[in-house]
Amino acid sequence: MSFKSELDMLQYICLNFSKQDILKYAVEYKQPFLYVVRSVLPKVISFIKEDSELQFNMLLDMTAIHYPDRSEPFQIRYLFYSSKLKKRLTIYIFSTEDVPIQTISNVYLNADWYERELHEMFGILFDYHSDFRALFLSDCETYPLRKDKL
Amino acid sequence: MKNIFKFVQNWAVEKSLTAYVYKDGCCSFLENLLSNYIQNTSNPHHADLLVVSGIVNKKSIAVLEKIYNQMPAPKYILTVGNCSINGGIFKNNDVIQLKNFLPVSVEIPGCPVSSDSIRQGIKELRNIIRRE
Amino acid sequence: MISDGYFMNISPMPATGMGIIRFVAQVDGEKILEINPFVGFSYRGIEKCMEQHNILGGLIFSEKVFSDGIFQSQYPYVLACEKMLGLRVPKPIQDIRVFLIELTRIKVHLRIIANIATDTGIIVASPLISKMISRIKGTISKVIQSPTLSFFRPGGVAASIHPDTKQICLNLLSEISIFTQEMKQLIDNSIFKSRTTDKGILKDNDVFSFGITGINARASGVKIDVRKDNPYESYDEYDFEIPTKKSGDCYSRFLLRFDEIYQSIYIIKRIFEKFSGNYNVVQSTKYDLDELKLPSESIYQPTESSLGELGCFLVGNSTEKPYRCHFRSNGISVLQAINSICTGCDLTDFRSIVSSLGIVMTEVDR
Repeated sequence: MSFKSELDMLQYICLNFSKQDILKYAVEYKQPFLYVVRSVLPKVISFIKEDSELQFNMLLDMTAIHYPDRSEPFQIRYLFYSSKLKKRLTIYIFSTEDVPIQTISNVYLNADWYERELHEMFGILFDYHSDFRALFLSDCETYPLRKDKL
Repeated sequence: MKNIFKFVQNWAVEKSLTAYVYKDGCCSFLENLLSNYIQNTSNPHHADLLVVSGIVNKKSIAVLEKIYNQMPAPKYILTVGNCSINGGIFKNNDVIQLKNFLPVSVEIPGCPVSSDSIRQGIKELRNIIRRE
Repeated sequence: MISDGYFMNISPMPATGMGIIRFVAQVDGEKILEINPFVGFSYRGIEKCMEQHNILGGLIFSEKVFSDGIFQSQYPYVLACEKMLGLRVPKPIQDIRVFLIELTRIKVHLRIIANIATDTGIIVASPLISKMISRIKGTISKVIQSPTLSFFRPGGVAASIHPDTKQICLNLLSEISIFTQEMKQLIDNSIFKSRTTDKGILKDNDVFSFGITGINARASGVKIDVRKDNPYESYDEYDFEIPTKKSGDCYSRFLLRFDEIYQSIYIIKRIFEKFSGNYNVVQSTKYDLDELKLPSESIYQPTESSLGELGCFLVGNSTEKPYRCHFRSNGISVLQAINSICTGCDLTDFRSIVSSLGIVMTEVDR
């Protein structure tokens, strides 16, 4: 069975999780996205990968945005692609500077370099990670993409 | 006597320049424009000119110094384009100027570089070699 | 990490036309046991620079991401701006933009074919292909009658095109099809086949676990193309095919590039059949773009470039400058998979495998 619209697909995902876990879902410019609580992220990701209707089996991109005025300043974005449905799905989580986020590089192998890039550009921590050397920059001390570094 | 040897050496270098091109950015067709005047090589042991175009980083200055140390004397450096002279349009903590680290002979400005500037720059380089 | 063997440094320019990158390989005799890439030599901080300039300044920075394909890295940024600002683009201008993009796609494929031939040992192909590329570039600048730097603008294009465009381009297309057939017969001989068959195989589970798109995925049997799956501009009106191959080695990636050139020629011919013939296009002037403000929303626009999926992610906050801009590049995914592609092959084949993958370092490091 295939979904008639992106909103049907989002409601199908939200049926399998409780109301406190998924904060918000919407469709903007024909692109579906979800806001998820940080601790539930591994369960959501394994569900959307293994479900037979959805099959989001490719991770295309990972980025972050810095909002210095909020209490949880970093907003991290994951972009998934399903080769069966031919659709893209965006998942957002919020995080702070000190608490590490669980890595997904055992499920999607290319998250390795994306997490290293986020660490050296913003200072976000990921745990159970293999190494944290600088990828593009020459050192890991300056975090150039933060908003207070001009 | 010494002057005659120096004159012959400068004449030989000037008429048969061999260049090692380090191309990192988007000044396109650089090899085609330069190959009207200079020959290319891919081994720094055989080159007497290092052509740098594109941005120079804190990471890539180490690579450039290694290449420059492997070239036999007499050796010259030519920087092509605004990006290697002072960073061009990219203003960053990471981007550095090449002339603070290595001795540059001729700088050719432009973004992108036109073929007239390259011809004039090579003429200037030949004058510098002849007068040395 | 394997602790036997000898460490070898392959640097700074391992393949033709790629850029600066460093590989450290662990070899045993001539066989590669493990390989690791080190990147970052072309890092310029484009994403930080784009936050400090308005929309017109962003056009210049977005071109530096992939400057070999002339309009291909500006295209997702221009499409994303148009959707956020709500600008409608009339049909003839969409056709012109699709036609120019397909022409640059042919140019980049020819350049990568020349690189593969040079790295495999057939060095006679490169000057001939460079001559044809100069011809394509000359035709583009004759048709658009303006500098190529900021020809694509949000809302349309910057200048009107030449009144004789149809005749000029159909002549060029017949020359390109004859030329590619000759090149294929020149390069594709028994020595080339024995040097590239069954080398550098990319399996199809690796395509999914590493997130690889573009020609590298299609040569391994996975049918992914943004122009068919999520069509943009006027691509849904032309019925072109997506060729795939099964083996995923260096030779099938080389052959697939010729098939894609023929599909691009087919699309351009369909565009000129439908073209109404009205060549006076609407320009978007500079004064309008300076004052437009981006709303507080975010958008991701994917496009299909010659290297894979190139997309632009834009976030605005009701000012003229974007709050965050990010480009999704395919080279990062391919470089992470290079350990599983290249283990077990000889050191002499490494150069041709890397240049057949089609990686450009300015797109990876941004």
